[in-house]
Amino acid sequence: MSVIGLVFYLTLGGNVLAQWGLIPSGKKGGAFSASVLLAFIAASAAASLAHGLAFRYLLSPWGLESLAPILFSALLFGAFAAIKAIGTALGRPSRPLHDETLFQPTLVLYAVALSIGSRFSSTGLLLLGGAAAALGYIAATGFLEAIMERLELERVPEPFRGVPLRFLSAALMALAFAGVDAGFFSRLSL
Amino acid sequence: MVIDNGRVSAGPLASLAGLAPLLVFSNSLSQGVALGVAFFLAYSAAGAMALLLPARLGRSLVFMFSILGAAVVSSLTASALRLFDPFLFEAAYDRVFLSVFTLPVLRACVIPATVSDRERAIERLLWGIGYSFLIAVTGAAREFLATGAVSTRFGTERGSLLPIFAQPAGAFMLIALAAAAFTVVIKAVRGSES
Amino acid sequence: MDVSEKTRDTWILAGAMALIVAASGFASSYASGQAARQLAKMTSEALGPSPRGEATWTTMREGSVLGRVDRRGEPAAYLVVARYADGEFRAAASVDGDGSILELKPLGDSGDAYSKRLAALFSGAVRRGSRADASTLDASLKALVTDTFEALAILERGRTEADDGDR
Repeated sequence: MSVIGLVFYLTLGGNVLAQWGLIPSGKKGGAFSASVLLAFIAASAAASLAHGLAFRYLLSPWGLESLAPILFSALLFGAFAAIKAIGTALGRPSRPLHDETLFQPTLVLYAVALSIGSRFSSTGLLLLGGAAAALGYIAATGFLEAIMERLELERVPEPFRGVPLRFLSAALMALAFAGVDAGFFSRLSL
Repeated sequence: MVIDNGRVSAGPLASLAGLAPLLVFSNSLSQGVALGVAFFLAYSAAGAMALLLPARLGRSLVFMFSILGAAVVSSLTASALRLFDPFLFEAAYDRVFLSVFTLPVLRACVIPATVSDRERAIERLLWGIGYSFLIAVTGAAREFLATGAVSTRFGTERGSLLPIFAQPAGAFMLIALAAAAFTVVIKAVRGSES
Repeated sequence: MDVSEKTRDTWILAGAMALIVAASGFASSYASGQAARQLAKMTSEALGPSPRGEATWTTMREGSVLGRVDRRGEPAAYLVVARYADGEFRAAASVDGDGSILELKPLGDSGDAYSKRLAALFSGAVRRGSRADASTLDASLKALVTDTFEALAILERGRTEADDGDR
């Protein structure tokens, strides 16, 4: 699979929001800055690389695959301690790990690491796949929030407003992504 | 749970979004049961550690040890699943591992802030059982809708009824319909009470 | 707050956690061994028992190839688990040293249209001369079959080259 094909696939057919059900909560927290989004993409690439290589070359040969969540926890705590140390050195306080706003990004990072790690084995593809999957997730989240914002103006039946409508919109997005994947991508070797 | 301007905006429905990664993958009874059990064990381990570890360790350390506890339990669950059915393990291990980082489990890792929160441990345990049951029932319902039958073994012969319900889009639709029905029922109950 | 007490508690907990993680490692290793035995037996039996009866399993997880069974004096056997939207197709494949597929036997039948079609496509690809009938599902499944065959050829060629290098 070429680089363009990989990015295309992970943004549409293999999008983690649609395939893994990582529905954002939709709490209005303001738009994220470009630096935050870039940091998220970089973290996703790093998580995919570290977890993918450790799973394939450290755990699998010894039959220790079941230790993967412990390994990811250790990686997460290590990365968090490093960020905290850098923040302290620069005099900028960082958020605690148990801050609820960090829960969804942590979930997405692990889902991306698992998804990409099981698909690729080379360093380059793990890095690129992790970044492309994060980019796809950010794009899909943007689409979903835009759809939800637009639907606020429509006369949607009362029981469907809120959570049900969010899931219905996600369902239609997943169908559209799968349709593009099956009808276009699988016939085209990009 | 809060009913805000006619909408059920928090509590069980909000938790559905947190459970969605497991509900989306649960497309058969066997996978639903495996994920339901994995989730319940991770959730219980996280909740128990957050409740029982000494508060003097501080919120961050208790949170970290609770996540590690849930990860260890998830690891043991995955090993048991591998012994039981290697194919089911290969198909489901990533979601079993992911259950540790789902929002309900991460929330359970946070040390209860007040004494009244601590006293609600049984209530949280019951919610955990409810969530696990929901994951298993979703698997059975989706398998039935997709194939017209429910099988207790993974990967056995089955027919075809509405295959879309085996896919993520079908899971989202089913969750949306269930959530809407739940909202109607809750509103009706509240209406009859007042 | 007593800092030394907190430090002591932290170390005790960390030690206990390390012991539990080690126990989980043993459990994982044991489960992996048992699963390997089960998968090796299943793959070998599907392709006909080896005269010498010995079969060792290697987990690979390369695309649709789950693992390889090495049977003494026999071509290598691979276990293929091809996943699609709502199910999976399992087969045991016997592969020659040059990467060509000698034999492919489906393991079980999940009964759905995708599984049946994958069985036809895989069998058709092994018997290169015979042309399988066409289906509307083929467009979305052919890439899976091609990728699996490519992966099998690359893995087996890599293994034989590594074996030759060792000699």
